[in-house]
Amino acid sequence: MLVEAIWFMQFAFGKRSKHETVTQFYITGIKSLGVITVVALFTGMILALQTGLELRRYGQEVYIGSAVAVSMIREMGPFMTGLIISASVGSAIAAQIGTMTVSEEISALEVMSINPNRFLVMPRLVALVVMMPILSVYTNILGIMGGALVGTTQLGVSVQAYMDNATQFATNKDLYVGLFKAFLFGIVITTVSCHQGFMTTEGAVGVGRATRSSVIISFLTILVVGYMVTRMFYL
Amino acid sequence: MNKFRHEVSIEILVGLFMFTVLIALGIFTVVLSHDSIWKKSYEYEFVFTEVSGLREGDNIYLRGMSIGRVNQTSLHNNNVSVFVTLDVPLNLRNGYTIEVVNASMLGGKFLKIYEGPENAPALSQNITILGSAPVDVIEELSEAVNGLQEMINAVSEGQGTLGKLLNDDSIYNDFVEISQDVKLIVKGVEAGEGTIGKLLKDEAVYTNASVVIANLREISERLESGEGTLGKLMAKDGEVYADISTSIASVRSIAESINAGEGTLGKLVRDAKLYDETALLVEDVRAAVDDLREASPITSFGSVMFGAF
Repeated sequence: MLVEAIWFMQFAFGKRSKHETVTQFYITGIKSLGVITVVALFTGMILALQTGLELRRYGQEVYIGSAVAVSMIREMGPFMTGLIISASVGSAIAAQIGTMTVSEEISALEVMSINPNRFLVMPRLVALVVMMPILSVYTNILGIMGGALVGTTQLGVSVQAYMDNATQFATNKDLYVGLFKAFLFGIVITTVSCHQGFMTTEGAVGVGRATRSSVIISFLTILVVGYMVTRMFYL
Repeated sequence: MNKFRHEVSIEILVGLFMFTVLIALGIFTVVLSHDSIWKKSYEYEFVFTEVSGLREGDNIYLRGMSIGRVNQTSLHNNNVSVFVTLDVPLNLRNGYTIEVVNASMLGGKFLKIYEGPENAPALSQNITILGSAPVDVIEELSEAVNGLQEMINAVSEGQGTLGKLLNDDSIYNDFVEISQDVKLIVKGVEAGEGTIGKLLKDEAVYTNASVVIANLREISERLESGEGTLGKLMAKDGEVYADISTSIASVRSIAESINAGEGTLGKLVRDAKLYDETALLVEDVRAAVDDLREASPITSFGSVMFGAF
C-alpha cells in the first residue's frame, strides 16, 4: 500500500488528484492550526517554567532559552505535532476509510477501476509528509515564543537574553533532524491510519475500533521512530 | 462558481500558510547557522597537537569577546587542524597563543586567542598558526588534591614541623613547662622579688630615682649658670676658651722655637755635637767608675792592714 502510494505521488498535482490533494493539505494544515497553536504555546511555557524554576536555584535561569529551544527543535516540536495530527487527522483518515470499507465503497472504487491507493491514500500521504515538517516548524516557533513569554513575565529573563541563548546552543542539525522526524511521523500516521481504515470490519463498531487502534498504534510508532532517529543522529 | 471560489480560496490559504512557514524556516536556518550573511567573515586554520574535545560550533574568544565559531576539526598527520570562521581579521604578533579552554566545570570548550604583546613584531598572514597544548583543569585539580592528601597524610604521620606540632606531645609538655615557669616569674615579680620586682614594687627605688633626677637637674642648672670649672668651660662668654686658646698658641710657639734649635733646649734637641760630647762624657764617667770598682778591694785591704797599725 505505502509503496504504491509513493509511486502515485508523481500524480499528486495532476488534473484528477489536485483538488483532493489540496483539500487534504487544507484539512491537515490549516484546520489543525488552532489546536497546534494552543498545544505548542503551552508546551513551550511549561518547558520554560519547569526548567526555569530548577535553573533559578543555581541562578542560571537565563539559560531557559537554550533549554526550551533545543528541546522544542530536537524533540518536542515534531513529537507534539505528530501526536496532535495522529489524534485529529489520523483518526479522521481511519474513520473515513473505515466507513468506506464497511459500506463497501472501496470495493465499488475497485469495480470502477479506481485505485483506492491513488484515490485515497496518495493525497493524504502527500499532505501529511509535506505538512508535518511545516507544522513542526510552526510548533517550534510558537513553543519558543511561549517560553519567552514565561521567561520575561515569570522568571525575569529579558527577551534579548532569552533569544540569544535560544539561538546559541541550537544548531541547524537539530532543526533538520527534527524536521526529518516530522516527515517520518507523517508517513507513519498515514500508513497506520489508512491501513486501519482498510482493515475495518463489523460496521460502526469496527470503525470505532479502527479509529482507536490507529491513534494508539500511531502514538506508539511515533515514540519508537522518534527514539530510533535520535539514536541514529546523536549517538 | 461558488465551488470554484471556495477551491481557490483553500488553495490560496494553503499556499500562504506554506509560504509563510517556509520563510520562517529559512530565517530559522540562517539564525541557527550562526553565520553573518551581511558581514564579512574571515577563515583560518589553526594546528594543534591535541584539542581536548573541541567541537564544531564551539565559540572563539578574543579579549573576552566572542568573535566566531569552530567550523570543523580534522585529524591531519600527527596534528589536529581546526578550521574557524571569525568576524574580525587576526593580527597575530610574536608571542601569540591560541588555547583550548574549558567553558565550565560541567564541560564544553572554547578557543581563546591572545594576539601577542602590543610592541611585538607582527607575523605574516601566511604562517601556519599553531595552537597551544590544552590545559586539563580536572587533571590539574586532581593533582592538587593528591598533593593535599599527601600533605595531610604526612602531617597525620607526624612528619615535618607541622606534623610534630600536631602529633608530638613533648612540644606540648615543653609549652606547659614554659607557661608554668612564666607563671612563677610573674608571681615573683608580683611579690616584689628580684630587680624587676623591686622596680615595680619598692617605693625606695622610686624615691632614689627621684633624688638622682633632682641632683642631675641641679647639676645641669649649675652648669648652665657657669658655676665651677665645667660650668666655666661651658659658659657662653668664651673667656676660658680664649685663655686656653692663648695658652695653646704659646705652647705651639715654644715648640716651634725648640724645633728650630733656638735657645738651650733647642740646641739640646737639634745640635748633634752636644749629643756626641755628652756620649763621650758618659763613657768617661763609666770608665772612671769601673776603675774605682776595680781599685776598691785593694784600697779596702790597704786601709784594714794599715789601719791596724
